[in-house]
Amino acid sequence: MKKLQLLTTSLFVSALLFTSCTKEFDNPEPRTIPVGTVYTIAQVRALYVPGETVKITEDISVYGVVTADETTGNLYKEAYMQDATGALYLRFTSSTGLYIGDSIRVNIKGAKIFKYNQMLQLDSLHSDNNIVKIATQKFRTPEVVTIADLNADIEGFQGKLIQIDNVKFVERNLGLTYADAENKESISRFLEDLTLDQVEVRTSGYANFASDTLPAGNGSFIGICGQYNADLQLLIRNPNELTLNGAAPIEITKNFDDNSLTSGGWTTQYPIPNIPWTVASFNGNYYGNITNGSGKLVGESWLISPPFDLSNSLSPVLNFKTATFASNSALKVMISTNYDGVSLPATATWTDITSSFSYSTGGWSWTNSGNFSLTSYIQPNVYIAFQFIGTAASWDSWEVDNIKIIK
Amino acid sequence: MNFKKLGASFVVVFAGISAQAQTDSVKTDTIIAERIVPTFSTTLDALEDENAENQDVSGLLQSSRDVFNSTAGFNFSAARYRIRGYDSENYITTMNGVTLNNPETGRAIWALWGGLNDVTRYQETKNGISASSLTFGGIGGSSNINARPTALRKGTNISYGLANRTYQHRVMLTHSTGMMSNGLAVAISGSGRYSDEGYVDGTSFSGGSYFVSIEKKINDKHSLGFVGFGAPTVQGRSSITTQETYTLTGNNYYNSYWGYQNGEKRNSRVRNTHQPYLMLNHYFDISKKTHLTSSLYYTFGKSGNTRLNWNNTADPRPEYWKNLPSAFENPGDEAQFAQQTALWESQNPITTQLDWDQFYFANSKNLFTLENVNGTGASVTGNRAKYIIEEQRSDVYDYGFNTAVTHKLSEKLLLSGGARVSIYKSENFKVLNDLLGAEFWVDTDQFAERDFKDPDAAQADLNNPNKLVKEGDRFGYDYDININTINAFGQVEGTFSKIDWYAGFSVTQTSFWRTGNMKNGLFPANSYGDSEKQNFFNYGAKAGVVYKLTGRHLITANGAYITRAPLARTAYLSPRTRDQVVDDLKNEKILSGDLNYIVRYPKVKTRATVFYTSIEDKTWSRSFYHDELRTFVNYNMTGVDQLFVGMEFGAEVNLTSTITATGTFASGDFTYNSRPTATIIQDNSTKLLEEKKTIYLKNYKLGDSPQTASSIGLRYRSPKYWFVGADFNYFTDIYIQVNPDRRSESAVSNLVNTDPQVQQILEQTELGDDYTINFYAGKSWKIKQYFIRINLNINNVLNNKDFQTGGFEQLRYNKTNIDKFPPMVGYMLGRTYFAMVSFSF
Repeated sequence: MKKLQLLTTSLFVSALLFTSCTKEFDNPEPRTIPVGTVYTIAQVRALYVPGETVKITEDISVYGVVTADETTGNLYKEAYMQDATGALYLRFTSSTGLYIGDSIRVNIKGAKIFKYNQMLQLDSLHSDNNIVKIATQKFRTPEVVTIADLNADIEGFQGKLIQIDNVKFVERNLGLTYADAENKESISRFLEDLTLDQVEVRTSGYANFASDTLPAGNGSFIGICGQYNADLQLLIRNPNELTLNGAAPIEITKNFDDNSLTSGGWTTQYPIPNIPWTVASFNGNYYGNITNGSGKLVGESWLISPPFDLSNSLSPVLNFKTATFASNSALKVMISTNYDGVSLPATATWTDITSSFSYSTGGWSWTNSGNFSLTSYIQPNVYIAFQFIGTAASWDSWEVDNIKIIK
Repeated sequence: MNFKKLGASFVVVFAGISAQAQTDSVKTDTIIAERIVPTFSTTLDALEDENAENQDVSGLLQSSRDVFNSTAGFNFSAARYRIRGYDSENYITTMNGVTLNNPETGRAIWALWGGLNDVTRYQETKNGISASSLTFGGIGGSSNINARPTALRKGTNISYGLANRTYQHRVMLTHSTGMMSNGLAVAISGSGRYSDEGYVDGTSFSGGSYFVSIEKKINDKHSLGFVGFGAPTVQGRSSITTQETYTLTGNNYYNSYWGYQNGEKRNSRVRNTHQPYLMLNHYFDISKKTHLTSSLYYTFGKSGNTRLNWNNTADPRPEYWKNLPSAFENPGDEAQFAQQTALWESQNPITTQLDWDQFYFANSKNLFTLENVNGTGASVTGNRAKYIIEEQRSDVYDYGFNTAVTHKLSEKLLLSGGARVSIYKSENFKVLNDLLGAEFWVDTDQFAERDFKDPDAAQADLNNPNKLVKEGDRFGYDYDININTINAFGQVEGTFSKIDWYAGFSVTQTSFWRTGNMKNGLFPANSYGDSEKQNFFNYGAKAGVVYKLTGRHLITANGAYITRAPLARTAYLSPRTRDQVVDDLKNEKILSGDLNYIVRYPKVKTRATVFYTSIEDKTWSRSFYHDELRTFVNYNMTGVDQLFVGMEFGAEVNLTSTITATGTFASGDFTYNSRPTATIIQDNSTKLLEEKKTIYLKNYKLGDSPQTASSIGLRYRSPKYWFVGADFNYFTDIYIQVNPDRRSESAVSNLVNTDPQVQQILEQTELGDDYTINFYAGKSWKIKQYFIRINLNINNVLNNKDFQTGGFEQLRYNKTNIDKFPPMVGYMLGRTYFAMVSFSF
């Protein structure tokens, strides 16, 4: 019986021993990605040779912060990174494993640099072999720009994280979705700013928000700036970042189309009478008009707005357009918060904001003034005025139209 | 040469010989018993695995006394042959009367007592529909392992086996005291099986097994018994892939599951099982005529399968279709095609196998900040795993009670009956097995993360959001399947001079439900807690008759009609994520019958059988991993009917007193017999991919088994205690398992009937006919009280490495390029051997 017990015990022990000798494996030797030469993003971009695909054959490391990732599905095997010198569009052979805020080092050996429809890209990156993550959650603040800024330097903004304030999706896009989720097709929508400049926003049909209806409000857009051939193409990282939910701003426009100079509460004041503001028309378009004539009359004439209550506005703006025959400085734009609306202008304090706008430089071509932010004038009683000073030295004329206050 | 005809000619030849007669050969049965070796090939293993099946039934039949069944067990199983085409759920295996079939899969899992060959050879096997006093049985048959200590030969048996199959070495020790004077009988058995690398590259095996059986005779009427056994096994497995990888590597046993880590071969798919069984038996001889056997049993344990998982990176599996040259067959990709082909053909393991070093490298530098960890609001920054080894577990807890009574009503009538209660639970979950150097894994679904804006949607468990998973933690999914079964059966057997007969009846009440232990982010309403119970009432009736033309010529007929509850395993559309059951869950209905002509001369034994079986309303489900959806896609069909018709013939002829010839032939037509309805869903989406889809499956062949197999064998048995023999086996009508979806309207919707693609999509692939030769020999000595035996089996003597034994079409397919996802095929192992030396005393 003892023998049997011994046998039984040894049997159990040996049976378990047999399976406990499962293989154990040592961790492989740690491997690192060489640093090589350190380049800035600008230096990497400079490696591009027009019309060619440049293949990187040396160890070159570039540091930066990830500004867009694949989380929402709007990117696929792609990411964007940025440093102080610029931004890079990265394309991978697989999912990137990168997240916004990752501070990374990219050894670009093996990658290719070329342009696809004018967008510079660093292509063929391997998410394991080319990337080292150094830290996380180093979020980059977007650069606040206008559509005009972007258009002025499309190449320079390529891949950058930007924010545009006071934009909304154009009227014809409202009610539509970001993209075609059903057929997984990318779709372009358009944003419009207060100056009516438009910019394309392109969203992938694979994005998890593709089937969402576009927000109808006004506000800020945050995303990545891209280029497609000659045009800008913006990319949404996450629709939660968009604040296009503000009330559409109230626009007060004086366009003279009613052939009236003073409708809407506008007034004229002539501290040195001689030169009247009038309404003129050309090809059916009416505008405010003033000239001291070939007689080079001397005078001071004001066209003054009604008082605007901007006390509830967030970021009110002023813009208008002008035309003149030849460049001159007879026209000034003034702003006041203590004018009484009836007295001569000199009874109030006026600030000259003339230099904040662009003007026609001649040939009667209409020129948009650009936006002037009225955020310093969030007050209940704001007057805008156009002051014309005629001198005996020159014959000056100005046409003013589409004077717009956006509250 | 038409081998179907050759096979048929066997019948003629043996029918001619069958007139002769001489003494019987119980000894041949012993030879057969000696030949009990595991015949599961690892290739088969992988194939079965893809079908969510765990085991083959062939082991059951290996000790059968019937020449056809024993030949099928030894010679045909390597070709994945299934007797009559039946799935193993149609065979009931019991031990001391306790049913060992798993209630969830319906199958008896032989691996759970692997290595206990000294014990399991003592089994009583009934083939086909048959009388049994222990269980109602299945249409394939039933088998009872007699594990009472007195059933084992008294004395000690020690053996050592050497093989080149799944394992290399096997040692086994068995000791039985016999009934001792104190009324106690004890038997123990244990074995160890081991290989560093099996026949297939990268496979390994390490298994122990133990068995203890104690019986105490209390008095003349009562005996109490205890049986405990288990077989802890760790096995590195092999894959089944497409022909492309076999051709590229020049290796029909190419195994994609392993790779080098620090220069050592490491397998990503390791099966780790240990499910001990404990039972208490009570044998009660109420009277000379009435015997009652009752048992309490409890079985519990783990069954795990590891696999590689990855997050936010490319599919690292070498055989993934995008990593194969064929992914670059499009015009313009010639350079890449050539490059990829060269990489594969160079057999550089970086390309052809897993690259473990790379996994560690990637995991070593993937900083990530997980916010709101486990819902606590805290955040953790560390290296998030891109690659992990996870273990998919299915742990069983099953206990119950079983009783069976026999009562001899008269010399001519035997009544038997029994009852069984089983309370079963399986815990199904994933465990993080190895972080491969990383610091944590995050339990969210990357795909759901991208697909749904709601961050909750990606959560595996809303009760534990943003779960940070470390080694040993459960994650991904976690649910229990509970199955309660109550069964009772009764049977009457009659023995008369010309006619023996039996009739039996069985009733079963089954109730199953799912308990979710995680609240899945996509299915918060129906993933957590107990689901609705599914209840089924089933019955079965069987009867059989033996008509004795003479004592040597018998005609037997058997028939059964059985209804069977759908298996819990196929009833849930996506049990990992929710408790939704398939629409219209129905009982299966089985109608089966066979007619046999049996000749029993001492020199000649033959059996010829025709059979017909129809199984209706099966529920069919399969999960497959969809590379692009990055999740399991569940393909479920209801109303799947199957038809099995065919014939079997087996003959054993003693040509001389020392030479025995055997011949067997079986041919069947195993087909789908309905147009099932399919529902297709993915685990990580609330969207139904498709529903109420008609599948035009009728008349397609079942691809689980060659439909025709034949064998001839010769055996020489010397009076000087040695024997030698060989079998020639021929297989034909081998079909690839069809992908149901390719047999639907949508698969050919954008084609017209005359397009050649229509045929390519619809046609079922038939694999080539092939053959094997197996050899065996043995010798025994008796020195004093010691018996020494040596046995040798060589399978596939001619080392035929081109025998495609089966395969399946991938569920994923491309309508416009049907070859893009070609079928997975498996090959029979080349020459393998098993040699054993044993001492008995």
